[in-house]
Amino acid sequence: MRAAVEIEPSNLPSFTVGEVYVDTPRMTTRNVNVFYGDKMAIENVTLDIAEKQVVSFIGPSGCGKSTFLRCLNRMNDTIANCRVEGEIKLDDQNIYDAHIDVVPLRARVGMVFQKPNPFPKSIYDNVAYGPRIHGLASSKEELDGIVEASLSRAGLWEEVASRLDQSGTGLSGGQQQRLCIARAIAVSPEVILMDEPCSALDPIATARIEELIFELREEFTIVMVTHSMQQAARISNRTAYFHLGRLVEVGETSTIFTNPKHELTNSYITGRFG
Amino acid sequence: MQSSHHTSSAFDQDLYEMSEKVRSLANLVERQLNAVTQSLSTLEDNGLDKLIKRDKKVDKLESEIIEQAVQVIALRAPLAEDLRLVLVVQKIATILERMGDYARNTANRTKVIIAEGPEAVPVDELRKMASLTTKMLTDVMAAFDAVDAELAIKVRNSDVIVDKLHTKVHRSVVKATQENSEQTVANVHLLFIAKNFERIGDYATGIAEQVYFLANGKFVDEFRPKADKTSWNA
Repeated sequence: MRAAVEIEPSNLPSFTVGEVYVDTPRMTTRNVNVFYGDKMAIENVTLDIAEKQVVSFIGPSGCGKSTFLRCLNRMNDTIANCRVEGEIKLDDQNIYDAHIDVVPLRARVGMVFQKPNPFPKSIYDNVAYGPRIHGLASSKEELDGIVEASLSRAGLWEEVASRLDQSGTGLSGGQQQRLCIARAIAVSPEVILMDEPCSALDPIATARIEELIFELREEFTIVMVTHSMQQAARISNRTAYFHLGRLVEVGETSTIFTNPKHELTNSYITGRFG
Repeated sequence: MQSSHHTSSAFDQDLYEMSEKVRSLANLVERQLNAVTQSLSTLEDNGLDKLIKRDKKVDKLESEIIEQAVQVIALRAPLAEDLRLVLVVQKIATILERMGDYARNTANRTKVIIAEGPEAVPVDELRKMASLTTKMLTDVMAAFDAVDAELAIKVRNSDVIVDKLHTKVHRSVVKATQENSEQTVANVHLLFIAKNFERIGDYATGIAEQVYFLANGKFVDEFRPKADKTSWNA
């Protein structure tokens, strides 16, 4: 056996291995760099996000996958010293154009976080919150319909239909995360970003969320950061491997997990470092 | 093959043990083939019963490898080259077990032939077939060790020589039977023995294809030259 794989920046590829472009992109990113102050967190990432597919971002802690995910709906704007260069387009619109309002952008590109974070409000109001502020319902009946449809699509309706007025924070962890997904899809987003959506959940709750993501990909474009390789393998169409701020390799999930092209990808997914 | 150590050293150990076991199994099958070839070449029983008994060891080792593969898949969830290694090792173990069966079957038939004492045994050709197929096994396991797809393909393509020899042996035994029907029983066994070696060659090509998959992550799609004409033209 050879010595352990060196993971110095000099070993990183200067370009991404695999298929960065797709035929039907919903989002495109070109030559994206992200800085926290002077520190470069993402370097020259070009990637298409395919419509109605799940793409998983994997890589060791600190590789930049969450940073890159958060660029996709400008969540990084909330970080004072964060600077984004390059081009990120939703359909044909650069989301970093000066005239873009981030509030409707984040309705179009929704987000689900690692830790379930329901509002300290009723289950109903958690889901109704987005449609209300974006004016998506013109009557109470219409809002009720959106709430029911969203909870149903999140696989939660039957469990909560009789207690919609109870607090969302009183639900179990898995239910809370499905509530957050219902909240995200209530505003009919085009893209849903998920930052380790199952890492705080037990295996059964995780399986339910995975099943849900699997179903949601028929309607939505989903980008997910995960530390679980098995999860990425189970539910994503494409997988992207990040390392030290670079996108090392991207391709069909089945190829990445059986026959990755780059040695760093191979070393990571086979558990040789990371 | 493996580029470096796993973070989990126990995983390294599991993969190492599996690979070692499949090498041991290959060595054991090679020993079986050598033993039966010797008896067949001299038409003397040089411990054929022992050989037949030893096939149980082959079966046991194959079971152990498959059990270990199941364990590794269940507990380690191997991916990429590790996944390929586990799949390939268990597949090779199954192929080797079948090769072992053919060695045992050949030993049984050799005992009958020795007892019957036929006159026209094409010993040279059979010995050639045996040594060629045994060498194919040796070489393909060297290809496995080195994860050498090129060597594996070379072994795969060499099977055509075994096919040709099989056709030749088949023809000469059929002819001998036509000329002297009293030795039909022994000659039928000879035909089966020749077929056994032809199959052993085929199995070696199966291992070669596994090595190719291990190295490249895809299956061989090249045509394999074949020359066994015994099925339609004696």
